[in-house]
Amino acid sequence: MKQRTPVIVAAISGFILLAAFLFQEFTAPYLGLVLNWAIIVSSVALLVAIASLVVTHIRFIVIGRKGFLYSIVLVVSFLATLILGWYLGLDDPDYLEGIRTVLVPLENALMGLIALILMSGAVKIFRVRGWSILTVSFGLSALLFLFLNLGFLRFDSIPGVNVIVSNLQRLPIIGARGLLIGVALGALLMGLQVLFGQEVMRE
Amino acid sequence: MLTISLSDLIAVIIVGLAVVIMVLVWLTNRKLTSEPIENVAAYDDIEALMHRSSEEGNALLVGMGEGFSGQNSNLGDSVGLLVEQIVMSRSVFNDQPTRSFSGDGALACISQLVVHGAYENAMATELFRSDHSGLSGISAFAWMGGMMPELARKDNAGLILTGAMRPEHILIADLAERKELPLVAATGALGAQAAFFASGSLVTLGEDYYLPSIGKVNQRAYQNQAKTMNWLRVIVAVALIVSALLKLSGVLP
Repeated sequence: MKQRTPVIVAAISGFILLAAFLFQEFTAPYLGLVLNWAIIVSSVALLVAIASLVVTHIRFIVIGRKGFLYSIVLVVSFLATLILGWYLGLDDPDYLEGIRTVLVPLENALMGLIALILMSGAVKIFRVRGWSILTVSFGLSALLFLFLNLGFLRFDSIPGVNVIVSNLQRLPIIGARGLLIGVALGALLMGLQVLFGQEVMRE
Repeated sequence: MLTISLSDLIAVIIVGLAVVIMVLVWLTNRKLTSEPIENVAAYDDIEALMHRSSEEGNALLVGMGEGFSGQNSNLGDSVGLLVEQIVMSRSVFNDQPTRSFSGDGALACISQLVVHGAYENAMATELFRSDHSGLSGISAFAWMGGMMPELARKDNAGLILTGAMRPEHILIADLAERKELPLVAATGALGAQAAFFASGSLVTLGEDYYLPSIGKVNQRAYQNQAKTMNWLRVIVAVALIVSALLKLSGVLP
């Protein structure tokens, strides 16, 4: 019974919300209210999780765990951001500019690194997974659509070819939609399993 | 008068159809007489990783993804938590504890409940420590940044990524490869699936992610869900072909 009560509560809430989403004409105000509850609960959860993260890293520093320098950086930057945000206010332009000055170059550098790794991954795929229909078609289609979407190919004088190229450019979207239908079915079934409480009845 | 839009009506029909097929499959599948559907390869590899972790006495890491941050639109985290629960329930008594890292506050809290529940079920709450499961950052990049130093440690047996991921998380796969650490990536995000496929790690493709069954755990639910999904696939394919034909013939506007 101890395990079943939360499942029953979750299932009833889930079904009510599902019905409320489908009949929004009547339930729109209640949906807004429930959404606000969700935002409040997730904000509190975030506070708890951040507190736990900081405490964990302070413990790493105290016991001198290997790599505790990262923990020092985390705790110092967290405290600096928190105190400055408290003192200057979250809308202060200098505060926002300061955060942006740190975040934007870091994220850009990371994106550059990711681009390089993706490129090396495209080369490595044949070494790692071998030459198969799947890998060859994956590599060829990636190259083909990369080339097509660069916009170098222009056939303005031959309208027929232009139509074929633009149709070809839509192929990845069509494929993604096909995959998304499958993913949506999977997500739907997983959601129903949770609602019916089947997820907790594993052997 | 109750009115409902066409798209909502289609949604109601699909949900109703899924419920009916689920019930029918459950009723016909009560005795497992027919040939069972094989497990998804990536989930089987998670079991191999769990064995390896307990034999080598090294830690298993679980990356839970960016969670309920509102930047993704799938139910991936629910599956991720299910995978985490299965992995944790079978690795409580390992020499090195399995540790999980979440990219969102709500997910981190639920994940900690899941981990604590696994220790409680094994009647070993004295072994549980709050740093076995926690937040490593509150965005996709911060989560990745918090995970990577843990990945670089020597006493790891493998890494399981499960939940909502992005193609950018290929950086984790790259580091795991350089550290010669086996990686299984189970995610429902298509972009991330493509990126992890290119990286050479074990990955769930398409809707495989929604069929979690590790070894014999969750087997009955998996069999039912796989069969229901097969039936739904057939129905959706037929419906799409019929509507395309109706559209071409001008019957549908």
